[in-house]
Amino acid sequence: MDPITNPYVPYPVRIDEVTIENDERDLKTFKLVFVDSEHAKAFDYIPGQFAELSVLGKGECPIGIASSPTEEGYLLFTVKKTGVVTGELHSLAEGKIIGVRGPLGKPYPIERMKGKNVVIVGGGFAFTTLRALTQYMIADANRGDFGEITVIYGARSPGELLYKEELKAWEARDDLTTVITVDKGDDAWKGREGFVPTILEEVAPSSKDALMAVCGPPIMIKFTLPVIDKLGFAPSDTILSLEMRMKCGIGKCGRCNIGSKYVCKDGPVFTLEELKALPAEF
Amino acid sequence: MLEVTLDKAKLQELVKLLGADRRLVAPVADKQGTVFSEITDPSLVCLDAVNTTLSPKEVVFPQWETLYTFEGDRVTKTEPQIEETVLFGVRPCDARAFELLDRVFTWDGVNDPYYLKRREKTLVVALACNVPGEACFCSSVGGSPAGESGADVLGFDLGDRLLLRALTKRGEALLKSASSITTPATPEEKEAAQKAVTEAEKRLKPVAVPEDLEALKGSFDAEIWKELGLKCLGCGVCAYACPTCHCFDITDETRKGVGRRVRSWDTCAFSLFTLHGSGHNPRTTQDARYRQRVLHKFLYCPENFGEAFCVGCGRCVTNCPAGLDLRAVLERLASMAKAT
Repeated sequence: MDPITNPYVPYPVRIDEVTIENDERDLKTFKLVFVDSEHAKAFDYIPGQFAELSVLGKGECPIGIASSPTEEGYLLFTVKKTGVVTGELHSLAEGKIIGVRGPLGKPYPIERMKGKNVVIVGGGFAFTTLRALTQYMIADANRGDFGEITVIYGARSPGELLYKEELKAWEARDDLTTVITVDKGDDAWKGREGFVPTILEEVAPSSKDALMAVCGPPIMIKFTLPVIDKLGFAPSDTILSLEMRMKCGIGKCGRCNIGSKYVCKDGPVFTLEELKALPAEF
Repeated sequence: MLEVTLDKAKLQELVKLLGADRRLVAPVADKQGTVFSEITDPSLVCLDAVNTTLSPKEVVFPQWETLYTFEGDRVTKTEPQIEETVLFGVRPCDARAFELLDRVFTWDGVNDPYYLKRREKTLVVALACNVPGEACFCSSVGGSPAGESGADVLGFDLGDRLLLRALTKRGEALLKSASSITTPATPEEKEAAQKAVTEAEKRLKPVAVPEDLEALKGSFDAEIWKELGLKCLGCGVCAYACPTCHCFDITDETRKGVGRRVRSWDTCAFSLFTLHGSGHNPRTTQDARYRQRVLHKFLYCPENFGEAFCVGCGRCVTNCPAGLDLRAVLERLASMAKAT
């Protein structure tokens, strides 16, 4: 019965708020609150980790945690409507109880990032754990631990950008550089236009004393990696996050195995150096 | 450790005694071969087969099991009732597989409560092989026809008698519970047991298993996988029959709001195994899937656990409908490694 001692049993959580993130209405952010405060305490996480969202009767799906532990009292997950479980999640109203199993996986290397400049490059709806990382670093208690922070985030269109209000707030801050771009703007769009790799090359953040965290669709990653290399970021200083089909999330069921790594427990966060040592099966 | 001898005529009595206050699971002759089955009638125990059709891994890792039940949005029950069990007549390769599975289900300090509870409650009485099967190659993958790994008791067939050697404290206690029908083993009997092992080892045909992991890594893009992928039907029988394959699925089943979350065996041979929600599939071809199974066992597991996840039982060889012979595949990979 006990989710604290049985890693297969989810913690019950209440859907506190549902935010529709995009024009296509297939991306929703769920604000979840633990039913039991003991569970909230046990769910001790770091940005970059993920959890299995569980709808009893439908199944589970692994989703990156979009909130930062500095945001106390709730968890955020941004979910794209894709299959059976996410489809069901999208139909659920505020107040409903679902399950959360985690935190799972290896987080972003926060300790290594401390004292360094950090460049965050995100694309589309893969921005979720990068949002968590940014939010963590700019929290009052932590901001002093990090050097310059640069966030470059792009989406297909203005309507597909996640966390629109928050991005505005970030742009207004003077302790981080926020660069937002869309592939193609609309009549109301006054911001930048252009693909993420191009914008990254334009902004050209220095690789000196810096780490880079990148997450986006495969096509963005493909064209961003050469730019990262050009900017002088070493593969060991370039951090990515992988997606894989998963079930158990705790390194048993074998589904997310790539080479000798399991994405669920050895990742999802890997350095580019680690990824280069893996067979190209992701 | 305690070593006793039992007159084989008293085998049924032994089975009765061992199963007196526990569930007893042992090989039973079946239309399709020999299968591990719960014993209520001791006369059904059949120790003749070398390898049962399926391995006894199901006793500690069932093909299908409920993780928990639920009603509506509430988990109602977890932790299944698991009985104390004696698993009798297990061949040393299958017993060794338990020791390998233990590593996965306790990996990185993350314990699988279902597996571990069953494992803790299962006493393993193994039986050394005098005459290995046609497809057996245990000694080529670190095992032996009289291997002790994973077992609590190891038995030796001396013709009209069984010599039973306790390997663990629990095994010793189990043997003591049958002391009324056993006698202490004599030096001659111990010698006879040793001789049988030596004979059995001689009968095993050695298989060259790739040991150079770096070279094996280099085989990833080799042509051999295309050829093998063409033959492999992706039916998964190798994984289901394998005592060390442990991949599983988790699915929900419901009826009128009451349901259960279950886990069931799964295999990397299936095309849907790695299919993402987005439609992306990292292993789209059977070449890649067959390669995954072989490399997981012989490259990734050695990297993670220091040993290949193969005990040489040969079930994948005898059951493959396409005639894929893992031994031949290993030989080829080993010779490719040498050539590089």
